[in-house]
Amino acid sequence: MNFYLSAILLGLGFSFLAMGIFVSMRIFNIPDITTDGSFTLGGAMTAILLMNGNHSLIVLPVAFIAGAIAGAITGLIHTRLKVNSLLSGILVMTALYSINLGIMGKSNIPLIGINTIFHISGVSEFQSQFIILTFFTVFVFVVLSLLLKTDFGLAMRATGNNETMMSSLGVNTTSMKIAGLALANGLTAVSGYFICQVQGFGDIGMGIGIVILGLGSVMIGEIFLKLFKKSSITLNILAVIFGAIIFRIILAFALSIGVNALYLKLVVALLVLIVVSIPNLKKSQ
Amino acid sequence: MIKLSSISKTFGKGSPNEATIFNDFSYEILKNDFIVVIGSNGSGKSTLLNLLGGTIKSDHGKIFLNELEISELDEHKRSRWIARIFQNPLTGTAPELTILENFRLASLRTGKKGLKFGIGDKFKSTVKEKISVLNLGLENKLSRPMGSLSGGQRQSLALLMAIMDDTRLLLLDEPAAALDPKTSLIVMQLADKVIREFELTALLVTHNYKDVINYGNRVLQLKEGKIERDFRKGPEHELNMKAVFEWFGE
Repeated sequence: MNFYLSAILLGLGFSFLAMGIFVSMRIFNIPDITTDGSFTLGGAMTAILLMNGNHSLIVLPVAFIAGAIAGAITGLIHTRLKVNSLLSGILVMTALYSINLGIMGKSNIPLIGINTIFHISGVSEFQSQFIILTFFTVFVFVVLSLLLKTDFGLAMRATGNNETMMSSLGVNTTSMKIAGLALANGLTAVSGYFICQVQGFGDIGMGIGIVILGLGSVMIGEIFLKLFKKSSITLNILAVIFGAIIFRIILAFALSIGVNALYLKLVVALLVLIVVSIPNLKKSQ
Repeated sequence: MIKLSSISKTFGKGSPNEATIFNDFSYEILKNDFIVVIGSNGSGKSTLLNLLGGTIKSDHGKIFLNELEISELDEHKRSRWIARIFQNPLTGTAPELTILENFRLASLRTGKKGLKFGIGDKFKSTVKEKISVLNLGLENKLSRPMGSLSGGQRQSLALLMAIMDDTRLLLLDEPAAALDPKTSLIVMQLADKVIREFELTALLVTHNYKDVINYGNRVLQLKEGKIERDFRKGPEHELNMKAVFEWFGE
């Protein structure tokens, strides 16, 4: 049972990543590969800053801002230099690999004996992980839902939905895209921040293929949403969080039935392939 | 009100597809002009609208709006005064946003899109009142996504959205071309009503000779980026109208 509870914990940790992918992929329609680098960036910043004795609550906004800067750079390359969005993301992700190594100074930083955000006196580490991750997931969910309902959020959503219209309605769509990618990667770095502390180390390879995990979470969430036949921005974000948790539960199930952990990424890829192709198979029938 | 002065525009410069649409083109649009713009494909009708709206910028020449030079202003900055209705009903509205959310954004054309929750009861009743004019029953469906509406409904709403704020110039790029004849008539009549009631200055690009008869007070016929005819509608210009109909093959 603990095995599945751990999966739920990881799901909560990855929910920020899923919300980030929701912003870049679903709101702005940009497949943002920067994610792989900004997730590790969040983890790398967390590991080095915690190791140097900084308080975990101070590290949290720093990780968010670092991720946001990475996203904004991708946005600038894409909008100002007119480079294809996919390539812009790949460029920044590649650059971030070196930057992350530079930040950490080595490829792995263990957090043994270091006070992480999951130290609440009087409760077990597992319980405190659960409490804190639930708190921050709910907090970010509420803030993001409210943000996307403000005038700024409406303009953001409409930019991804119909850029031509928004430009003719007085919105600087270039700035909107940059802001959107900054927000998405800020959230992704927050995921890196939490996952680094859940697993107890920061690693240069922790972000490899993570964009697929986020995408899979968003898509699983959407399948649930279709079952309820209701849609609103709040429900969409909620579904994305559930998608992230369910994704981890499915992976935990795969491991529990004896799939070798070496093949975990293969399982992830297959799972996302199934989720992506189900709607297409239904259509062609 | 609007002055285009010695405008030149060439597309695909240096490529085999290089095409000069305008060369030293000048034109003046007066306040409350409702100009019906006609011409063959490639004559420069859409380019004229794009230059005015700011979707494209001229290579040479200047555009003035009431003495203010707007030639270098980006589209989103010009939208303070200029609204546009596109040929494709899908282009003028955001399909995943609700009717109400679309109207909220339209009402903020000149305003700041800040961290404010702008959709309150007062705003809802304002939109409801505006939409009820259409008689399409949409005033009770404000929470429906725009994408679930028909092309005609979307185009009608886009027209109302265009006048939610301080619009002075309305650019209509074949707004009814993608609609069935009945809906097309409703949309065109609505556009005409809106232009009259709000005393807007407007340009209507069309390929339909009936639009030349039914709408506008001035006709501009373009040919290869030059003015072939430009006249105000009235008995003294019957010969010009006759020539236009002959051009349409009617």
